[in-house]
Amino acid sequence: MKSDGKASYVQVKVVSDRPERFLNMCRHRQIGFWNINRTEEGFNACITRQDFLLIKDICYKTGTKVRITKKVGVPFLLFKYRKHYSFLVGILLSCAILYLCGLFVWNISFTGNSKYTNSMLLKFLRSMNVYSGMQISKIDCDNIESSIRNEYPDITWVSAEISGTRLIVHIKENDVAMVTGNSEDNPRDIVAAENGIVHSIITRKGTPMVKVGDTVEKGQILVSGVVKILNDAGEHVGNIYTEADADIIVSAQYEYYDKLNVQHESKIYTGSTKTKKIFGFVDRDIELNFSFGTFENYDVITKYEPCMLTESFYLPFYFGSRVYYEYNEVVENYTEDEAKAELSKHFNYYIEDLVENKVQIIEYNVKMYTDSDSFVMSGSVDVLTPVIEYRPVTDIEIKVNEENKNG
Amino acid sequence: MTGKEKFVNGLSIAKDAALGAPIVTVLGNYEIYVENFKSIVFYECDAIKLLTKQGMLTITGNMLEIQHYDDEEIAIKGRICSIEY
Repeated sequence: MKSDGKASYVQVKVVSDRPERFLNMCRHRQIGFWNINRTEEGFNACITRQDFLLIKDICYKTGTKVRITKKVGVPFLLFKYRKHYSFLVGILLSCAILYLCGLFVWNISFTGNSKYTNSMLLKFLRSMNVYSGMQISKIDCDNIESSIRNEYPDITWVSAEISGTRLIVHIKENDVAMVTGNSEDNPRDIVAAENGIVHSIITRKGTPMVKVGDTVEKGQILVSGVVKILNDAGEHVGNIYTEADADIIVSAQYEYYDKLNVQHESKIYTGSTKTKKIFGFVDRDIELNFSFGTFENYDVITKYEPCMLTESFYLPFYFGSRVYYEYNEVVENYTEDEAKAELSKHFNYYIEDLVENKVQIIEYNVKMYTDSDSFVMSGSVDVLTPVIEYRPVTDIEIKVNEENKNG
Repeated sequence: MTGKEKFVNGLSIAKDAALGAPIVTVLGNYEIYVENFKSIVFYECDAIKLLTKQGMLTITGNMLEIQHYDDEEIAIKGRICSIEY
């Protein structure tokens, strides 16, 4: 037998002339000792509380004396402090506090969001009266899901769940806005998001208004949500209003312009830092090191460590640290190489951003030149960009089509 | 070799199960596990004698202590010098 996993056990001193006989009899009755150390009088060992109660008979038969030297475990502790009522009150109070804590939400977390930050979503939930510290029973997960979907059309899937004292909102975002509901109730056109030339068009629903090679202007209807119904004679007899759906790629040219002043302020970090411990409750925190002053110019990095009993049982308070990094503001001038590197970096970010938005870069032509007090990078970027802008079919369109039908 | 041993050898049966032979596992010279033992015959700091179906197994050494024991196994720790059958 091993002590691993034993809730409570006793260390005993066994005095016997024949300890082997005592051990064999114990083994025969499936009573186990562990950590047995031989002594001159017998041995010292550990035994569980339950087994200890069974060895009385064996002790009598073998003439062995057993004396407890140490008691280990919670049951012994409870027995020892049974008269300390404050101890009992403390345990009951702790249980009550834990129970009360378990009735509220102390942590709201989001998964799967990239376009919408946590703070944006938290702010939205706050406007719905869902916040850290509210009662779990008052949280309506279905309402949260539908409200987020209605508020953010490009969030295509939301699932809110309560896990312990956490509200976890799982989100799936989509680049293309998903329109729900009956297509006839929400007829829409696809319109050009910018000026360009139609590179390709594949229409699934609606009436295409342009063909490959056409020049389009921003706001121009590319695929109409109005589908004309013609009879066998080719006469206009009616209209169907639908959600236009098509894959359209437009070839466009973006103008690029970026300016960098020669003179600029930069931060020179002095290397001095100050760390302050913080203690927070719900969404308010206080700094614990009052004696520290602060720097004149500084950056702050704050780290929070929420207190939790389990992964899903968060408590309403948290600890953390706030590190202040001192810096001096210095006015410097860019050299030409520095400016070139900085402007190139900005341009690369711009290109990466376009690629992330599924824009295909065909060609770019940018140049850097020096103005009186600045460096400028300008030029143009030829791209193939998908059109993802929708507009509801206007009343005017409906009226015109109805007149055409009647006329 | 006894008749029983010959019989077990002929049938290729596991000897520990058929003959009740002790299985002795030694870790370096500081830990020893003995399975299939019948009883503890002698226990001192410098020697432990175990009765097995095949006779006496004597373990000698220094500061020997029984880490744990149960129906099937006994674990002994200490500085082991010799194991004798």
